[in-house]
Amino acid sequence: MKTTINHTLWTFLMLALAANSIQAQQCSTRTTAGRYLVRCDGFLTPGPNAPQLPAKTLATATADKNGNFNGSGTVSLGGVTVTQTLTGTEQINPDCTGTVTYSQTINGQPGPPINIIFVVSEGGDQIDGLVTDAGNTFACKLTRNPRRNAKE
Amino acid sequence: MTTNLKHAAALVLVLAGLGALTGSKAFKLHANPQACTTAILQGGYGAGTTGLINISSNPNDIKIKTFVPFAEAVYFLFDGRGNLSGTSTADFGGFVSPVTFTGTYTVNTNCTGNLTVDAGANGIVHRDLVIVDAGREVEFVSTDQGVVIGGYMKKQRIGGE
Repeated sequence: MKTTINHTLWTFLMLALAANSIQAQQCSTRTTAGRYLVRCDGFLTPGPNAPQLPAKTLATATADKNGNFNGSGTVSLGGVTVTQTLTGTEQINPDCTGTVTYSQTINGQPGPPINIIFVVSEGGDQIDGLVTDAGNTFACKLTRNPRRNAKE
Repeated sequence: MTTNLKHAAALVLVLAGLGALTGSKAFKLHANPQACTTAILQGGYGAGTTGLINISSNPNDIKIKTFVPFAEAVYFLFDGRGNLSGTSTADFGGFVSPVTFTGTYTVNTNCTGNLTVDAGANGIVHRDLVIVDAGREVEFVSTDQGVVIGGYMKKQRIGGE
């Protein structure tokens, strides 16, 4: 009887560990919940058919467990500094890739939407994104602060 | 026998509880105090900067070809009360020069901020900041006209500090 209980307990533990392991390899909107530092670098077009300009962004963003992102920060576009706010909801796949379309304001005025494709890594502590709108070459790196999965 | 069953059940409950806690995102998120002051920046920081600077005399002339590459290795010293000083080696389009500077900085409670640096003949520099990792790292972007520069600072930890 005691042996049967031990086997049952052992099986339960193995199943629990296996389930946890499988879960760790999958992403959901909960994976990306938290506060992020946002750094972007590249070249943007300020308008349709306009030439690309060098650009950098420094911002913070907060994501909830439903994948809703809200961010604000500073964009240097061709050496002109503007304040930007972003709001969007991510579509994240179990393999930790995803897309998001942001609504934005620039200096308080509505701007065109921004489409981004991204990959989540380090259990959600890092997100690497790429703007997919034509005419732009702009990559972003989001780092969660504090990190949840840091190896001390 | 009954005791064994109780022990087994208790162990399962404890393990399940631990699993729920360690797997809970909200549990860890709540350990995230965000209240910064100027005191969070104190001591020496090493910094790296890269970007492009527009050399056109016409501020409206902002084509890629008018921008020159810029890179810089910087030492910042913050006093924790809003003042800073430092030195750097700057590379502007391949021309390398030493720079010394003094300045001031502000920090908001949400750990964003800004700094202003007076680099003498090299001009006045303004940057927006985001402070992370309890002040051990700072990311920044320049906010001056014609300057597209970003970088980071990391707190120097000397002697296992």
